[in-house]
Amino acid sequence: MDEADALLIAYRLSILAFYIGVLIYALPIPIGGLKRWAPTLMGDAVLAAILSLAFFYILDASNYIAGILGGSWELFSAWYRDAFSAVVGIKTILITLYTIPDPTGISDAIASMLAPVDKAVTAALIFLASIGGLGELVVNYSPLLAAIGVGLYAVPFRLTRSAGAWLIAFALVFNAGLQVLPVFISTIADAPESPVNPPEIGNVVFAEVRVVDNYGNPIRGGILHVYNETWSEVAVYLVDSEGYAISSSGERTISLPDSNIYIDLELNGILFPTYPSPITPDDYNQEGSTWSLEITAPDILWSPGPYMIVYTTGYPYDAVISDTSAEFTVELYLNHYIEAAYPVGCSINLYSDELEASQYTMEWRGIDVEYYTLYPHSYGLYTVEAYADPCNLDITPDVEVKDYWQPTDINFVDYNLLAAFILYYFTIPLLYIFLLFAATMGVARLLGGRDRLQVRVV
Amino acid sequence: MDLITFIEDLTSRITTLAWALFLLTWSVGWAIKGSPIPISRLRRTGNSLVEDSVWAAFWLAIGSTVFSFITYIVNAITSG
Repeated sequence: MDEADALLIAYRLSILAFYIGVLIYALPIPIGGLKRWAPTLMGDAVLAAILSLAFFYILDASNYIAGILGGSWELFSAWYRDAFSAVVGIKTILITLYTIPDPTGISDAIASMLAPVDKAVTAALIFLASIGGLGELVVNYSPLLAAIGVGLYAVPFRLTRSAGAWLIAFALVFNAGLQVLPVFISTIADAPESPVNPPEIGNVVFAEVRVVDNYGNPIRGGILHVYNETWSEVAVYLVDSEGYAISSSGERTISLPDSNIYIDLELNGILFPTYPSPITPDDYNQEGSTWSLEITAPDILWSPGPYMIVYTTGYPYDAVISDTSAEFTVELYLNHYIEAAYPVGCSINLYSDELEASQYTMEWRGIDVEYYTLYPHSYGLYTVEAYADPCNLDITPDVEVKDYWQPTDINFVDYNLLAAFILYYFTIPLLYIFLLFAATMGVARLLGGRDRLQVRVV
Repeated sequence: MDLITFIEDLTSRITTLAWALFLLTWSVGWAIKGSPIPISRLRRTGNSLVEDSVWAAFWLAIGSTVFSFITYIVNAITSG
């Protein structure tokens, strides 16, 4: 059934109602209550006939009004597309945040913070989908709906007059109103700048990273600088007293890019390169669900305590290492040296008969570091004895740890922006839809939908 | 029989019935009005029946004319 059929039926029904009215006039039963139906039926019939005949003019008027107000269906669908994709974008990010495995333990806090946001976004999503359905319905079927409304309107004895009036009013009001929706919203609020800045979660690897010296012993303390393939710094981590890199939340699992990376170890003011270089995704080891990575700083020979190291610029040859003492054999050229660096208050003593010693102190990131250096006078293999006096100083260099994956930095936790977003895509459209429904009720009332069937035979 | 035919059928029956009822009511009205019973309320009833039936006849005539005119116009437009 198309709208022409519905209109034809409406027209025929109005004729029928008219003749029923006449019939009641002609009844030889002198009851006033019954006779009063006659003019009512005839009046309704004339109105319904006019509606069905002028139907397309009325629909055109609805479209015309929408055009005058600056609306169009293209505008509506453009707005709808934007709104829907923006909200779906946010929802996708939220879902991703909830579902990624997170051994760093940050996401529990984040999740509780995001739960209300998630609810609001879900509501907005459902609401927008409803508007989309409504728009689809109105675009495709508003003439048919209105025609069916006219048909219902024309049914004799006002049986479905209210329903018909409401359908006609709905089709007319929403046909004009939805086209004007974007105009209305943009009059009240500005579109928020997209708060959607998805982290590339697929490119993160969570791993335990251990830093070891030339002999595989842990390096106690330091700062890891993580660089991406283009050598820009993407993360900074501290190394704890057992050689493990720790995240900003203190976990031993850190986030790294899932691509080739370079890591430098900064310790006591010296930047040590580490190997493998670059670190490829193949360098990680998997045990169960845990990924681990061991990186070596080959220049460091010994780390007997936190932030205490012995390193050389020469070539390590041999070493005998115990807890507090060690003996190294190193190959040194003229410009090479072997050096111990430790916080003031601790000490590492280096002894060698053939090497010249010097000592100086420097401040590195808020720590006073003492350096004890041995230089050769000529090329050769040198044996150096080292004795450490590990101290239990609580040392933390002054550095800002930067996780590669930083959920706290994601823009949408900006609640002002989020509020603007909810306002623009949820609150104001909702308000407007309520307005449209109120207007629908008004128009329906104007058409006579308020009148209830009043059966008064006597 | 589809809905439109049904409605049209119903309409023509009702029209016929209305004409018949007009005649009946008109006669009954005059019969009551002219009956030798001296009750004024009864006579007024008869009078109102006659009036109603005349109105009914008037609207029947007008309605048939107007609706057939509209149908004629619409047919002329759609077929023309």
